Amino acid sequence: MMTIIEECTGDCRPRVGVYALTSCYGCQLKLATVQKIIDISNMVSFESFYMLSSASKMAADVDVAFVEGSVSTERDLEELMEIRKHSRILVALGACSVNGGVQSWAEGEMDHDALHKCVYGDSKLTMQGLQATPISKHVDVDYYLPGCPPEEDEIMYFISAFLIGTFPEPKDYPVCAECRLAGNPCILIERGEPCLGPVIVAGCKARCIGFDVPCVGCRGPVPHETAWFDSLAQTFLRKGMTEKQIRQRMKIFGSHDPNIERMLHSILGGETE
Amino acid sequence: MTRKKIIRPINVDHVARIEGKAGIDVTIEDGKVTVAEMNIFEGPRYFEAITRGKSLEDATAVFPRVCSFCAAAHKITGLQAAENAIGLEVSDQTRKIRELLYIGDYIESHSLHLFLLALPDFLGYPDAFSMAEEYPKVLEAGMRLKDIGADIQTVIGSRYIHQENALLGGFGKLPSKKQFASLGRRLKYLRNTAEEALETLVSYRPWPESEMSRLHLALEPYDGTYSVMGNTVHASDDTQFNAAAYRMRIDEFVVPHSFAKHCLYN
Ligand code: SF4
Ligand code: SF4
Ligand code: SF4
Repeated sequence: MMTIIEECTGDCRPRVGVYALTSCYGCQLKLATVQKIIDISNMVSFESFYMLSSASKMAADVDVAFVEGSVSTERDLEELMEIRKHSRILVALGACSVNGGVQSWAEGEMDHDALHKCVYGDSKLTMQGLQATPISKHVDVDYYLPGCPPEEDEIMYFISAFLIGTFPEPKDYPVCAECRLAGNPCILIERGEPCLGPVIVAGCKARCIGFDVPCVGCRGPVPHETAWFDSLAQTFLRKGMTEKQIRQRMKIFGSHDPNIERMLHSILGGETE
Repeated sequence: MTRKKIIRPINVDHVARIEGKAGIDVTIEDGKVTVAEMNIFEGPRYFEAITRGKSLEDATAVFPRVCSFCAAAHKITGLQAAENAIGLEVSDQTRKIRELLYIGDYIESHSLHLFLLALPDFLGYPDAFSMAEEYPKVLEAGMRLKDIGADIQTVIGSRYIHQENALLGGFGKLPSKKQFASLGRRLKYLRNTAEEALETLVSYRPWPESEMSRLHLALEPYDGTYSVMGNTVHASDDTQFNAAAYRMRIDEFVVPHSFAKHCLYN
């Protein structure tokens, strides 16, 4: 069953919360700076939005909560639980929340103690950090809005879908599809650039390739377990990339994908270090 | 008879309208502040650790994710550090276009902070939305400044949060002359708006003068203009040092109540 808000008539305005766990605030900033933000603020009631408003609370009773950031501290986890309890619909907003974010890059390579030691040495803190995880590891997530940061049109699509009482449908095809439509030359095949387009979910209109820059994967792996890391790894090998380069690049935004280790293992063998 | 000590704690557990998550704890004993702590509970993302052993291309793509408001600063600083490490000299053109990207970030970030985050405090509103009806003009001016800053970054860097079109040694694709010219025209056109908005902002001025002793650091622009790039750091106590030697001058240390480290100068 999809969770939707019933269309409201008259004065009712959906109550919305925008929250951050551990992040760079970029997804919220993107949301706060869409061209129609003033119109949106007239149509919904922001019950909590710490980045923009001192009339915020953790957590407010809302119809829709947008949650940015990974769970990276014990406090994040407590806040996430509170948010879930007080929200009818919970949307994971952006790569940190959906995929664990770039802070998960060393997943499988360094555990939390090693990370802590590298940055804080032997100093003890009164707060407890955790290995970064996507929010879906801890709570039920209703919808995923990918991107680092998400695209304006997708943010508008999600908000509009909720406003008219329906639900947003996720994209399930890769950046390559949009790249072909845009008429770009394929810089992976033609020049051997380390482009992650084949395994990354579309929605950015292949922005980077338009700038002649290979996709770094910021929108995260294609959902429904259809990101074929193995076949892309094979192509990368043929183009002369090393096993280490392939593994590391795919893990910038993909380290929590359930299939990545298995697929990379089948092509590259064991974890290289 | 001993007088009872009057202890007053003030706790703000979540400071709003900032980029990041922080609280403030203050304790006042007999009219004197005895504890004043800024508690940064924004979780750590361990950038120093996770980028170890990674390729320069991938690491420099990750660095801007430190902060969305100043992503270009983190991108360019990371690129410069990587280029210094491998002895890669960039062309004057690259340096200038990077500088422009950085200035775009500067304009955007400062406009957002001043008009969207700070201004509601000056005027007694919880946020910019509730202020919009009463003060549309100054808010609109602030947002137009934010927009030009964002557009400079989009044209040069591919987008205004986490620019991917800034690479080791240069750019993937450069903007056309026409795009630069159009940005230039808009900037000229916005000059009056900017000055007026700033005057309005300063005229509200509800904050008290601080008499606390403090230290400011700033980069000396490399070319004597009002730039944000350079190699010499000046301190307000009249000392200066080379940016590459910062570890000799700035001592980072961990405080138990904050994920952000503190620093001591000299
Ligand atoms: S997903 Fe990207 S833009 Fe969003 S908070 Fe995380 S690092 Fe920032
Ligand atoms: S350039 Fe990248 S995104 Fe475009 S078609 Fe080739 S692999 Fe796919
Ligand atoms: S091309 Fe790749 S890195 Fe660039 S915006 Fe799209 S998903 Fe992100």
